[in-house]
Amino acid sequence: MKIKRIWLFIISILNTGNVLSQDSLSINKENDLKIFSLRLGVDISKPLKTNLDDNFQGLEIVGDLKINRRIFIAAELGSEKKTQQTEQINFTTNGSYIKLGVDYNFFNNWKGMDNSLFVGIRISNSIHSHKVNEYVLYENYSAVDIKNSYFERAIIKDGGLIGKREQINSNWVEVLFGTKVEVFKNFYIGASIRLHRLLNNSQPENFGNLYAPGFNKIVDDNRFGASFNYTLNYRFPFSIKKNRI
Amino acid sequence: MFKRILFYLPLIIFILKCEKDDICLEGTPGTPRLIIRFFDQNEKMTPKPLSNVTIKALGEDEDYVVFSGDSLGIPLRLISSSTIYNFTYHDDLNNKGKVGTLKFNYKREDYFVNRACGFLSNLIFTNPALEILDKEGMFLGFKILNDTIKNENQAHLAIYH
Repeated sequence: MKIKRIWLFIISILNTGNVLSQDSLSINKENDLKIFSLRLGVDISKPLKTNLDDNFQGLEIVGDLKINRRIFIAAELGSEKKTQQTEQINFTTNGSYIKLGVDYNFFNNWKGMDNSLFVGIRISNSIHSHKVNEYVLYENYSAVDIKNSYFERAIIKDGGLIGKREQINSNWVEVLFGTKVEVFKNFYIGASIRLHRLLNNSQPENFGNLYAPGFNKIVDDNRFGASFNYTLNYRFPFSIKKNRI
Repeated sequence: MFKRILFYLPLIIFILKCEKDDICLEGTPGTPRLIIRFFDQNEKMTPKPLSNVTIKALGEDEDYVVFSGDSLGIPLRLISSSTIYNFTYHDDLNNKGKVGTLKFNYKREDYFVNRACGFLSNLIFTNPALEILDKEGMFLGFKILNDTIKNENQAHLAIYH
């Protein structure tokens, strides 16, 4: 919670600083008059994966709002349903996530071009449920001189621990590196890779939070994760202009 | 500055993303076996060993173990709430002798350990914990020493013969 606040604070400082500096610049540069322009897109890797993989359904919508040529407020909204088989457990995760933050474009465009190469940070949160479909009991007690699995492996398909754990919450920060390139007028192709650092992670009752939509696999001894997206974006051809005084 | 980030970020992601395989570490305690100690029927504090007894669960093709001694660990069938074991005596000339048939009754209580090992189970005896199925056998009585099979450090059942 505390870290979340700190990040929010940093982001807001960054924003105000740049918006202010933009103000003083725009007096000199008339072509910088457009200030807000909205871009919306969809991650095309997820629908593709949905088609190829029976155990995955997902969608991610991305958006950014241009504050000036450097700063974008950006967000991703997504939803996922994924069934996976680990060594011992088969479970289905279902939930959605939101990622909110800023991108900083460090690419200097030629006049008339609107491409970007950016680094960004996000604060992300997911709410999801885990449903345990079946599991294999871990039997190996002592590896000494005894047959460990005399009986066939016990695959548990019903009982108290099979079923849904609702309302699980994970939040994390992401740093990312990405690009958006205008391929036709107002159409952009984008890609980004992201490094996640888990902050808060609620544990479901008698199960582990092994996966979070948007974060991906959560392991016990490493709080980092990674993801990527590959987007198609459309920039709405309107923008809110500053008053010329 | 940014060129540096550009270069290092994928590298950092790659390194930080490295993780252990999902393999349950050897030595992680698993679902424990049932530990039985054999005592003398008349002097209930005196251990009385069995010798050359073949132990086989009902419904399995293979013998579990040929056992001699006074402390025995046997697995219980985890998908069911009871397991029946036949104890048969074999002498050197391969003559068979019945020792006894035991039925263990219990219920499972599973709990989650971690991603790699998954779920483990404690077994809790239900009533009666043990049924001695043939009256002519050599097992005469039992006593519960520990009603939850949580680990293999101590015996759970004492059986008198």
